[in-house]
Amino acid sequence: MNSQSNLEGENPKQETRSSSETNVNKINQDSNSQNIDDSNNLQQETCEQNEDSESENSKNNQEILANLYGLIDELDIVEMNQQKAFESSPAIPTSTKQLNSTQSAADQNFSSTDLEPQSPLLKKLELKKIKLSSPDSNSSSLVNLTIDNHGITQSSSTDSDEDRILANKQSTSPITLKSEKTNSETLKSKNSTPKSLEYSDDLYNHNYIDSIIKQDVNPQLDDSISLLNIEQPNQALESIHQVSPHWLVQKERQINDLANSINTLLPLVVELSQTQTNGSHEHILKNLVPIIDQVIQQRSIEDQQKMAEAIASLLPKAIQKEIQQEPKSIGQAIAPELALSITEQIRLDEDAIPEALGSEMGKAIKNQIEKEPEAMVDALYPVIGSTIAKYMAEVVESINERVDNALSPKGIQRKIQAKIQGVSEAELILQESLAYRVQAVFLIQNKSGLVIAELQPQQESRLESDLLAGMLTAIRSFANDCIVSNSELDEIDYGNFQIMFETSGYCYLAVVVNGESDRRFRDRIRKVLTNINHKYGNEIKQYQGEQETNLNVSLKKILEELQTDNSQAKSSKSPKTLYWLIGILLLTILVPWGILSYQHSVRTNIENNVAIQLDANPELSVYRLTPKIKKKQLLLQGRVPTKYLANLATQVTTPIAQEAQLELDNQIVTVNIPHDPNLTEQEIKRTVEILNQHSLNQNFESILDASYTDQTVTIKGLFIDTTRQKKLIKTFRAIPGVENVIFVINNQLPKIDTRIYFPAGANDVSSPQELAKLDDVLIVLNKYPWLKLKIISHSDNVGSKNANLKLGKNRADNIYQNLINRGIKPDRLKVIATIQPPPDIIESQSATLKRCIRFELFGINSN
Amino acid sequence: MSSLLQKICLIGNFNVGKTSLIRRFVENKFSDTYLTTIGVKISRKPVTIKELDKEVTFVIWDIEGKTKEQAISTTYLEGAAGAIIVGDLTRVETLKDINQHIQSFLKVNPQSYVVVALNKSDLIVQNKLNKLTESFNFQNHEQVLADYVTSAKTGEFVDIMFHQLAIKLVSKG
Repeated sequence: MNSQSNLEGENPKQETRSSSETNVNKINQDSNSQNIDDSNNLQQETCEQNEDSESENSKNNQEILANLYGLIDELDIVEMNQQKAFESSPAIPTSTKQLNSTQSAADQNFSSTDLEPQSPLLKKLELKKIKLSSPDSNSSSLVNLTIDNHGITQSSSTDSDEDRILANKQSTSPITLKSEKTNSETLKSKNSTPKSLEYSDDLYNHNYIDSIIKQDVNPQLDDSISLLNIEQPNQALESIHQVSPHWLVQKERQINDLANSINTLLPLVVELSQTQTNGSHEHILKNLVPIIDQVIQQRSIEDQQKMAEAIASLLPKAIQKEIQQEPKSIGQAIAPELALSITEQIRLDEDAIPEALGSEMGKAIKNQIEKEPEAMVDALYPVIGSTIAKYMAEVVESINERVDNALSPKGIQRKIQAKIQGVSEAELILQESLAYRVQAVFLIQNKSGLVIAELQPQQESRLESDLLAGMLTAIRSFANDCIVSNSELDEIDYGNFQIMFETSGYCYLAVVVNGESDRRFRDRIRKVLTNINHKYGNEIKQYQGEQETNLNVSLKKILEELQTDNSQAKSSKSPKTLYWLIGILLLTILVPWGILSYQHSVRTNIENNVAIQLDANPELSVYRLTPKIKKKQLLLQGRVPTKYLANLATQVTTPIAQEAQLELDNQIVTVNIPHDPNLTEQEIKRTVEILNQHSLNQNFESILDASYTDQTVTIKGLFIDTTRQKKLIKTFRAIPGVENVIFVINNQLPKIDTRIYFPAGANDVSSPQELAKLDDVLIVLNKYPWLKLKIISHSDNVGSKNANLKLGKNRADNIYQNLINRGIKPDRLKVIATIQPPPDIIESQSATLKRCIRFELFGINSN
Repeated sequence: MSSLLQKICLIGNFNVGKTSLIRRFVENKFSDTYLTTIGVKISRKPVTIKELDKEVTFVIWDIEGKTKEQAISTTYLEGAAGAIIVGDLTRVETLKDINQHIQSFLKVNPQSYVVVALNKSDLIVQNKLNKLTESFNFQNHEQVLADYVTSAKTGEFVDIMFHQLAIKLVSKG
C-alpha cells in the first residue's frame, strides 16, 4: 500500500476519505511509489479504452511480452555482470549504485543520471522492466506504449539540437511537478467522469514523453558516449519495433532473432561500456574536477529537492566519519546552532524533544544531585521550598496550638482517645493538625445527575460542578449496575482527596474533602441530608433543572452547615463526652474524699471529746495530753509526772473509748518534770492559807507560815495540836517539787506583855499614850484570829475591897469597850476583875503598879 | 434571564459519531481519529436562546456506543430531558437500530424529547442520501422532534439540531 495508508490508520473507510483529501493537499509531497501506483491505475483505464480496437494486438502482445520477459531477464544477468565490472573499477562506484536505485525508485532520478556515463539503452531497458513488473493484463498495452513513447523519445533526442535540450532541461522541474499533479487529478476525476479519461490518457502520454526526454537530456554526457548510446539502442529497439500484429506467424522466430541480436550486442555493449569507462575515465575526471563545485551548485539551484535526496543518503555516514575523525570540529560546527535547532524542533513537534530527553532526565538530575547537591537545592528551593515551608508552618502552628491546649479538656480527651485507640498522642495531634477541609459540597439529583445546589468555599480552585456531578452519577450508576445492586458507593479516595457520598431517595450528597475526615463528619453529612430530605424532599423529586430559584438558595444555606470549620464543629460536639468524663472524675475524687473527711471528722470529734474530758479533770488539765485515733485504737500520748496521773487519764478516757468501740492504748509517759520553784512556792503558800483558813474554821489552834528553798518546805508557826503534824507533812509533800518538809513550830500560846496603868480611884487611863498601848494588843489579836483574849483588871489595896473590885471592873469594861470599838468581836474577849495584884507584883510594891490591866491569850480548847 | 440545567444523552451504535457531534457542538472541533467512548463521557455547554430570553445549560452524556443487541444501561439514561439518537449514513444497519434506541430511551424517560441525527453526510452523495432519508422515517413518534442530516466534520446542522432541542426543553418548562 502507499505510504499514506500506513500513516493514516486502520479503518479502511477513513483511509479512502483521507487519501482523497490528502492527494489534493499534498501535491508537492514526494511519494514516489504512490505515483507509480497511480500511473498504473491510469494505464489500466487506458488499456480498457484501447481494448476493443486492439484486441488482436493484445494477444500478440502478450506473447511478445512473455518473450520479452525472458529477454529482460537475460539482460538483467548481463547487467549484473556489468555492475560487477563497474564496481571493480573504483572510479565509478556511484553510477552502479544509482543504477540499482533507479531500478527500485519509480521516478527517474535526475541527479543520479546526470553524472552517469552509462548507456541509455540500459536505462531504457531498465525502465521497461519496471513497467513490465506491473500486473500482466495491463502491462501488455503498457509495453506498447512504452515502446511507442520510446520511439518518440528517440527521434526527439536524435533531432534535438543544443537549444532544444536546454529548453527541455529548463522546463524539467515544472513539467515533473505538473505531471505529478495531473496524476492525482486524474485519479480524482477517474471515478466521476468517463470523458476525462481520454484527456488523462493524452496527458499521461505527454507526461511520459516528457519524462523520457528528461532522461535523455542528460546535460553532462560526453558527446561520443551519447552518440554511441543512441546508435545502439536504435538497432535494438528497431528490431523490437518491428514486432507488429501482422507478423503473427513469424513471431517466435522474430523474437528469437531479437534475442539473438541482443545477445550478439551484449558483449559489444559490455566492451563498449568498459572501453568508455576505461578510456574516458580520466578524461571525464579532468573535465569534471574544475567544474564539480559549479556542477553541484548549478544543480542545487535547479532542483534542490533532488540534490538533497542525492546527498541525503551520504550525509549520515559522512558526518559519522567526520565525528570519528575530528569530533572537535564537528562539535564546533554544530554548537552555535544547537540551541536554535532544539527550539525549532520543539516548535515543529512539541513532544519530540521531551520524549527524547525524558528518559534521561531522571539520570541527569540524579547525576547533578550527586555532583552538586547545593545547586540543585538552590534551583528547586523556590518551587518546593516555599510550598513545604508554608505547609510545615501551618502544621507546626497547629501542633503548637494543640500542645498549648494539652491540658485543656480537648487535650485530656485526646489522651484518653490515644489510650483507647492504642495510637500515640502525637499521631492524633498530627491527624488533627492535618485536618480535613471541605472543598466542595454538591447536592445532586439521583437519576439525572443534575446539580441542585452546590457549595464551594474555596473560590480559587472551583470544580466544574456539572461535569463532576454527571461523572459521579455515571460512576455510581456503573457501580450499581455492574458490581452489586442495591448497594451504594460510599466514598472515592483520590490521593489526598476524598469524595464522600450520602444517598437518599431522590438525591445524594457528594462532598469533596481535602485530607482525612472522620466518622463524625460523615454523621454531619448524614444529618444535613436528612434535613434536606425532610424539608425539600418533594421539590427535589420534581426538580427539572431550574437554576437560581428559591430552592437552590435555601438548599445552599443548609449545605453551609457542612462548610463550618471542623475544629469548631468538633468542640461543639465534644462536651457531652467531656462532661461525662469530668463527672466520673469528680465522683472518683469526691466520694473517697467525702468518706475520708467524714471519718476524719468523727475521729476529730472523739479526740476532742477525750481532750475535753482530760482537761476537765483538774489534776490532768495541767498536762498536755493528746488523744489520737489510729485505725481502731485510741492513743493517748503525752507526759505526766506521776504514774497516778497516767492511770487517772486512763480512767477518764476509758468510757469514751468504749462508746466509740475503740481500743484504748495509753502511751502516756511518766517523767520527773523539773518544777518551777515559783509555782511550787505559790502552791505552798496556797496550801498554808488553806490550812490556816481551815484551822480557823475548824478551831484548830494553829497558825502557820512556810518557806520554800531547795525543794524543802520549812513550816514555821504556832501549832498546838501536834498530832496533826503527820497529816501536814503529807499534804505538803504532795505539792510537786517538794521533797522535804521541816517543821519549826511553836506549840505555846504567845504572851502579851502590855499593861495599862490607871491613876488611883479613876476608871479611865490618865493619858492617851497609855491607851495607845492597846495597839500592840490589837496586832496580836489580828495575827491570831482564832485566839481569844482575857482582859484581867488588877487593883491596889487602898480602900475597900468592894470599891476596888468595882473600880477594877469599870476599868476592864472600858478597855473591852475600846477593843470592840476597834473591831474585835466581843466573843473573842473575856473580862476578869480581881483585887489581887498582878502575879509578878508583891504587896510591898507601889500601889501604882498594882492598879493595871493585863492581857492573856487563850485558845479554843483552853478556857 | 432564567436558566435551566438539563441532562441530554447521545445514543447510537458505536462509531456513528456521537462523540464527534458533541465535540463539534461544544468545542467546534473535529478529528478523524476514532476513539471509542468507554462508559460515559460528560460535557457541558450553555445555550442561549435569545428569542425566549432563556439559557439552557446542557449536561451532555455521551454514552458508549452499543448495538440493538447490547442494550444501553438504562441508569445512564435516567433523568434525561432529551436525547439525540445518532445513526451513520454510511452504515445502513446503524440507521435501522435508531428506532430501537428511540424506544428504549422513551421507555426510561416518557416525558422527554428526541432528535435524530443522521451523521456523516459528508461521506455520502446526494442521490444516495435522498434515497436513504426516504427509506427511513423516524417521525413516527410525537416526541421525536426532527431528524437532521448532520456532519460533525463540516458542522452541518449540528448547532441547529442542539438548538432545536434546547428551544423545546425551555418551552416545555
